[in-house]
Amino acid sequence: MQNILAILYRFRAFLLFILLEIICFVLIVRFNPHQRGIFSATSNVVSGWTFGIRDWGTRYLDYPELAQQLAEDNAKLFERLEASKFNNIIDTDTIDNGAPYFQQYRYLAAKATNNTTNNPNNYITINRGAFHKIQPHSGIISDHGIVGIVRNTSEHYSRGMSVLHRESRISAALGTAGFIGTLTWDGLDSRYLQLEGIPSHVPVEVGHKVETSGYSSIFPAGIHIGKVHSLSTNIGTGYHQINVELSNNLNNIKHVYVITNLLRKEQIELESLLDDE
Amino acid sequence: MMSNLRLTHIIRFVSLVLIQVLILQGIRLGDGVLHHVNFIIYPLFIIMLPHNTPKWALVLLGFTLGLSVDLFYGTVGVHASAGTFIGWIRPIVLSFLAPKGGYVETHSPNRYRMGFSSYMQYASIMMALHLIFYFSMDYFSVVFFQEIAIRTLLSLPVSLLMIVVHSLLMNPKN
Repeated sequence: MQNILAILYRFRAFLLFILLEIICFVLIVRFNPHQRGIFSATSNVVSGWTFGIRDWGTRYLDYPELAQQLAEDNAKLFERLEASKFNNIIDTDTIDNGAPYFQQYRYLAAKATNNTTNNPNNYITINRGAFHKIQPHSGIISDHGIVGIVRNTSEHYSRGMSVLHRESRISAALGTAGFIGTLTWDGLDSRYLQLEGIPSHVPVEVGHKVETSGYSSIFPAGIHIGKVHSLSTNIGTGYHQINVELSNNLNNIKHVYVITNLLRKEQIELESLLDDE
Repeated sequence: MMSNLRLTHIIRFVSLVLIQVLILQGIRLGDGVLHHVNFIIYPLFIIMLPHNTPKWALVLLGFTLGLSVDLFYGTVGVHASAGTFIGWIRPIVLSFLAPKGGYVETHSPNRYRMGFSSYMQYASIMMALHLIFYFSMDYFSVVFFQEIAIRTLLSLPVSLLMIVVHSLLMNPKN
């Protein structure tokens, strides 16, 4: 305390100078119209800067809502893709049976609330469920590739089998020629899936892209999965052994889309009918 | 002796303020560039205070002097801020210009004690600082940088001329 007083006393001339200048400043702004005008204009500018800085500082605060909004918008746009529509065009000009296209796939934005990748069989939980009209056997994809397939739904959540599951079977098309194989997982590395069923006479090169084939009732055709990372030929079976590097990182899945095939029931019913015969 | 000294400075205070507000305030040299010439002499009071004046007293006297002028100019605070400023900065200017032996504490900085050259050097710096500060406060924005500079450059020679005339005519010892 005494030190503070001593310092104040030591700098009393300077402190008096500052005090009197502040008084002068107040007097100038108070009693001189010209200076007051400049002062108020300047303070407007300064407060403008201040609010600008505040906006800059808080600009990330509403990003969660923004991201949500964008995800929903994306889902709507996905639905408008041609691959999401059922082609109803009949190649004759005598029969007009309604609109040429109608919606086959519905996209719903969701968030992963739980996700594992390091077990032999992995599952993903998302925050959309039966209330949101999600049905089992809906596909789950992220922005960069496939994630899994819905198995069970509760009122507000769905639980899906990740592609990193040893029972996962996903029909995939390889390369531009579109050879169809089945994607499985050997349970070893969450970055790679194995593509089976490609005959060894098919020319395969590292880097060939792999996407969904559309030969299922779950995923539409053409969803990106990844690319060929390494391959070898299994002499005994006559098939390639292909490692597919996933284009999405399943370790940090957050925003996903649930794809519901609105015609799945019809397709399954028809296929089971044929099985019965 | 002491009261005489004090009386000298009180008289100087009053007479400088009166000269400033009654005579110099009304002088207009004309339109155009000459319109920018201001006649400012009153800081001479601060310039000529004795060396042993306490720093806080310099600041307070500068404020009082400026405020007195302000009351007649109708610009409350503008001259006062400049007066306060040169009151505070005077010891710094003097210490920069101090001769080897330093100053005699009881003396005042003037032509008689310092010699014409040193005195004018000191007075020029003080006057220039005063004018820059005063015009800055008058215009109150860096937008008017040019006007502030022009006014200072045009008014400084006039003030210095008056200081020279004063020192030659009166040549005060205190």
